[in-house]
Amino acid sequence: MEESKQIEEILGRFHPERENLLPVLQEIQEKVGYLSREVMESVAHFFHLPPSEIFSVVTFYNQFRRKPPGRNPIHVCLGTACYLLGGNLILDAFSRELQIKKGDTTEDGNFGLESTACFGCCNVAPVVKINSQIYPKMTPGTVEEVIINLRDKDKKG
Amino acid sequence: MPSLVIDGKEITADPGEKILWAALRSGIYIPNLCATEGAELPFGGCRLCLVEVEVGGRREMVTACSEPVQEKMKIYTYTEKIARMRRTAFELIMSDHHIDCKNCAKRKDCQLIRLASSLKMTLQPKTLRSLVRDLPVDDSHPLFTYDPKKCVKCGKCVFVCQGIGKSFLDFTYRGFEMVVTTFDHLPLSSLGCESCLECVKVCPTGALFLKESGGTADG
Repeated sequence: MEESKQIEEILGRFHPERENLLPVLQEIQEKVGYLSREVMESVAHFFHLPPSEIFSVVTFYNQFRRKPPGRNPIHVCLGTACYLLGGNLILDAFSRELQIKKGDTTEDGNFGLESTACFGCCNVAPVVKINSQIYPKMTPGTVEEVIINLRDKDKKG
Repeated sequence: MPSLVIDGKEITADPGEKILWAALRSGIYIPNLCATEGAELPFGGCRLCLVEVEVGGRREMVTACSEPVQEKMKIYTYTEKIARMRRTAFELIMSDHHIDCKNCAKRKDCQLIRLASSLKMTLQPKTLRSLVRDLPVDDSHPLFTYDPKKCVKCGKCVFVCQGIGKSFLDFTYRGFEMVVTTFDHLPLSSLGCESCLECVKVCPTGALFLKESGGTADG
């Protein structure tokens, strides 16, 4: 189904009342993958709310993304244990290596970079999750290795 | 009309009126930055108007801008505890404010300078690190400029624009990353703003300033 049709279908199932804003945004993101400027504008129109308010809500919650997710979404854990063991350094290393900021996707659409809050495997902190695989005991040095391996796999696959 | 005692002085206020405005009307100064008189839902974000209120023998710390007056209320506007909390609040506000008074359009009419002198503090925080973020200046509007590095997130521009039914500005992101900006960071000139300039008038700092005022915002 075309993207705008999908969005229309979702909006059709809701009343334009404020309390429905979050469920609508969540459903659209689930279907389409992200919330583009155009999507936020049509949601604002539907709810008769100023677009700036939709943008305010979307940027407030970490769960919403405004760019298409990468084919390999990288989730760097910044939960307490990972944070204390240098989760931020791992995030910085990915950011440097891929030349994107947190929340962005590389230009070729290959990698996305996100931070999350605990996968429940603190015993091997700091961890990174990519395509539902956990990478344990990360160091800034192993970041490059992980990226190279994923690039290779992408070329072969 | 409820009568109450502020710092030992008996005053009367309108029913439902907030402590801050009742005090100011009676000539008792309580520091404030984000307060707007008549606001339906006071923002209470700056934490400078904290006062202690005695209700039924118990003392409570409340923001004067949001707490309605009550009959026989006893209010203290200056105690050791209040002073300490106000100092922290002011330091937090100043810790991500780009201090550049020399080139600032509002240097002659700056709420922060007035607050600093009333709190007997310096503009530069003494106990906190200064963490000014690298945010882009919006120079697109023909009449005014927006420099988010000078913004103290008082929300006055957001609420005034909302009040006239436009809502071009809103709070975005969260925590330290919070910034007042337009929908998807679009330039101010592209929104259909009718230049009522209310946002510039209410801005207590040099974040929103008229181009003709001659201030500069370094990019």
